[in-house]
Amino acid sequence: MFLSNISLYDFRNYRELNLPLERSVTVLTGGNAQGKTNLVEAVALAALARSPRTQQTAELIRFGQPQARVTCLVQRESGMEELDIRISAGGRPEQARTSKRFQVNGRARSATDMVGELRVVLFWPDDLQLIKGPSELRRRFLNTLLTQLEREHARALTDYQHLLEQRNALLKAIREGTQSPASLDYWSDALARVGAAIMVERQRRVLELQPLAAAFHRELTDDREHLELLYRPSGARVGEAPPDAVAEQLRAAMARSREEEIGRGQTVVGPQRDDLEMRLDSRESRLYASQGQQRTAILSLKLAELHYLAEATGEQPVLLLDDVMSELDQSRRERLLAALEPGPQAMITAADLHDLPGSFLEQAAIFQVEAGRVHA
Amino acid sequence: MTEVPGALTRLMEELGRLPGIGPKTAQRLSFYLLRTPRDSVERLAGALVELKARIRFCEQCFFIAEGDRCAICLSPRRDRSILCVVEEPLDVLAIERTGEYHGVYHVLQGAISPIDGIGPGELKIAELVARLRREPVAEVILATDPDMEGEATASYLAEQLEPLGVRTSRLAHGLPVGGELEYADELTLARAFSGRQAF
Repeated sequence: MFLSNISLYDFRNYRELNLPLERSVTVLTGGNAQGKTNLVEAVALAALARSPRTQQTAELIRFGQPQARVTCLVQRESGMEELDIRISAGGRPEQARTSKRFQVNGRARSATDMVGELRVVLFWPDDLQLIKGPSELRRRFLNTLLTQLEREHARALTDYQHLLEQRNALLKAIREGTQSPASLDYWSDALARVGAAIMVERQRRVLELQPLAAAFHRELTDDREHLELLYRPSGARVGEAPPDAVAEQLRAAMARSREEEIGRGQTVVGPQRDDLEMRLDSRESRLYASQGQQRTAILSLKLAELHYLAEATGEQPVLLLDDVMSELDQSRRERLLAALEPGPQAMITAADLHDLPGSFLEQAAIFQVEAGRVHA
Repeated sequence: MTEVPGALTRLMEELGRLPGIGPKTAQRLSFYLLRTPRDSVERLAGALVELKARIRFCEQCFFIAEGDRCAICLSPRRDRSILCVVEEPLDVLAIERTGEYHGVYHVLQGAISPIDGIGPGELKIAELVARLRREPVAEVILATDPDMEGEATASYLAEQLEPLGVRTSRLAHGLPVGGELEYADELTLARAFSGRQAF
């Protein structure tokens, strides 16, 4: 698939933009806070139905305006698709509630049903925390990849979040004595069922991702290091267990932690506590790897993500590289760019064009981004 | 700032409390009423007073009633051996419009939702159990909404009703009539498949 056009209307610092894109590589350059990342964010928003950058949807609307709009034209083998997202500020200023509306080819879609129409791999400075940072970043990595592969997974995550909020509200109410525990079993049961489906899918996908990540890492380290990805589920052993068996384990784990859960007013087992461990030569990289080793491992993981998405769906995703070139040393930069030939469509932002090799720039479409305007 | 007369402010405040009505709409309605002839405003006020004076919830099924019992509970033509459990009075009206159902109802007045502070104790569940002990009902249809709260409520009810030995059923999930298959969402389609019937 490739993105042939993106248009923005009152999105972040863009008043109006209509940008036709090349099938190959687009480089966006310009100073800080001019709108390079905003453009990448708009593409990610169209792909993931949420901004990877903020939960405050109101931030996406240009200051003082009532509505923002992002429209992407996606060329797929099955034909052209128009993805349209409208973000409206709440009608009442005191509520500051925003709403997002999605359309594909003029027909309304839910956020969940929007994901997967345009697939992206985003690599930006936040990702450099993937190993050292909180486990939430690694779950988000899995969620972003898995929801783009399987809409059912996006739905399961949404359902899980809703059930989790209900169950946590009930646990708090039980602790405070305002609710009886009578309905706890029903929430636990529903949570375990949806949670198990998520865990089984995570296990399967990590097992498939693992050999790709290991291969890229061998290549990047000239065969010196072995990278291993291990899915660490919370409250159950997944392995090859069927969903029903995993759900049963989760139910049992919740029953065992009942007192702790009521005491904390929180569900303490399940996919919201999962982790993805990265091991270098059998040692946990979070604890033992140097910064350079970590960056190489993260690069291997991102390249694996890119190739896995292409392999599993039969369509090349769009690669979004935001501001990471300056974070990588020359040899890692070259390895990353080498992966783009003959590869996917890419959108690359760089404050300094010197971060990119001249031979690479010759083949790219280069745009200057300045105060919410884009010109060649 | 110009002072708005107290009577007008009070009306705007009261209207603004209604669901779906924001400050802007409340203001527009208030000024509309200001221009409306006195007798039609009085008819509206009368209707509001009458609503509270005459309409209450049926003491048996908690649907809306003009006396102690609702028209459905009082009707000699309804089949009392079959009872349909719903969340809200509006659900009864929707099922009645189908003309397909001739049994009686029980309105729970909500669904289990811990976030909103609603547990089984806040719903008319104890009343339902007592009613089933009292009356010879052969089948209970659980017609709570097909969302998570409705499902949790239905499973809770199913377990509460089990010792009573009454047959329980749940409404089927399926495709909307008159819709197009290709536009059905995946979950609805998946459920319609698993719940398919012999033709």
